Amino acid sequence: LQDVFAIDDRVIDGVPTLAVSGEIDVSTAPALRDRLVALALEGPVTVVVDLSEVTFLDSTALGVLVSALKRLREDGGGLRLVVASGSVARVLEITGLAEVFPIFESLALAVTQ
Amino acid sequence: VTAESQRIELSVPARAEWLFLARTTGAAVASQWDFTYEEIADLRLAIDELCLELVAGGTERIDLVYTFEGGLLSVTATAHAPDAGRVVVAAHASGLSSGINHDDSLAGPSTSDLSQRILDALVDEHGSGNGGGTWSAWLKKSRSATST
Repeated sequence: LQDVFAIDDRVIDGVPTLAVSGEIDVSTAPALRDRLVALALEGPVTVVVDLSEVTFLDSTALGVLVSALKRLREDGGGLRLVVASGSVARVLEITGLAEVFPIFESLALAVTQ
Repeated sequence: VTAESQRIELSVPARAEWLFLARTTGAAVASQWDFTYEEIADLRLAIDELCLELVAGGTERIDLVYTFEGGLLSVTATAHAPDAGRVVVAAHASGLSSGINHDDSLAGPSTSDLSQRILDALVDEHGSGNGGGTWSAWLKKSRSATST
């Protein structure tokens, strides 16, 4: 009934990358928040969150990403999103957040930008 | 789950881990009632947002009623709690962002703002209200003319 949520935590070409899959909602978003907080505590860093395997994303997930973007930018870093699926792109669009996040079509582009 | 004519009822624990059942059931009934793939995806998210208002605080269960009549799908989610009004306030204020969003001067859209934007965009009508020890949130979405 529910696509399994998972986070694959990697460093690609020196860029911390969280590849998220499954559904990000009020029950799973805290795990993503915790990973982002841990990365933010390491100092100024630009993080890539790959949402290309995410099948569902709600306002709690967006809240986590917005907060992380603010925190990382404030510390001199940043947050980039990889968005492939139509449903995630649609949510970002209708909330106006597509204009807020740096969004990339592929992980390769996001880490090399 | 009980089904009678064009009405489905579902009662779930008011806990985050059960929210998926409310939205998945909504997607299933919308499919049964011939909504398009895109409409079903919209409803799935909208029902999730609807229930987010109720998943917090002292309430124990959320009762959902999905009805379909005249091309219009209606979903009502009701939480039963003595302090149901306060529950909703708690839900909106309980940012999952705690621990990250430590500077309000950088405030962007809150989670509740985002939830309202999503509902505004995805459904025809939505609203909420309390009374008699319950808090209800509801939405309505019409099936497109191209649906069969």
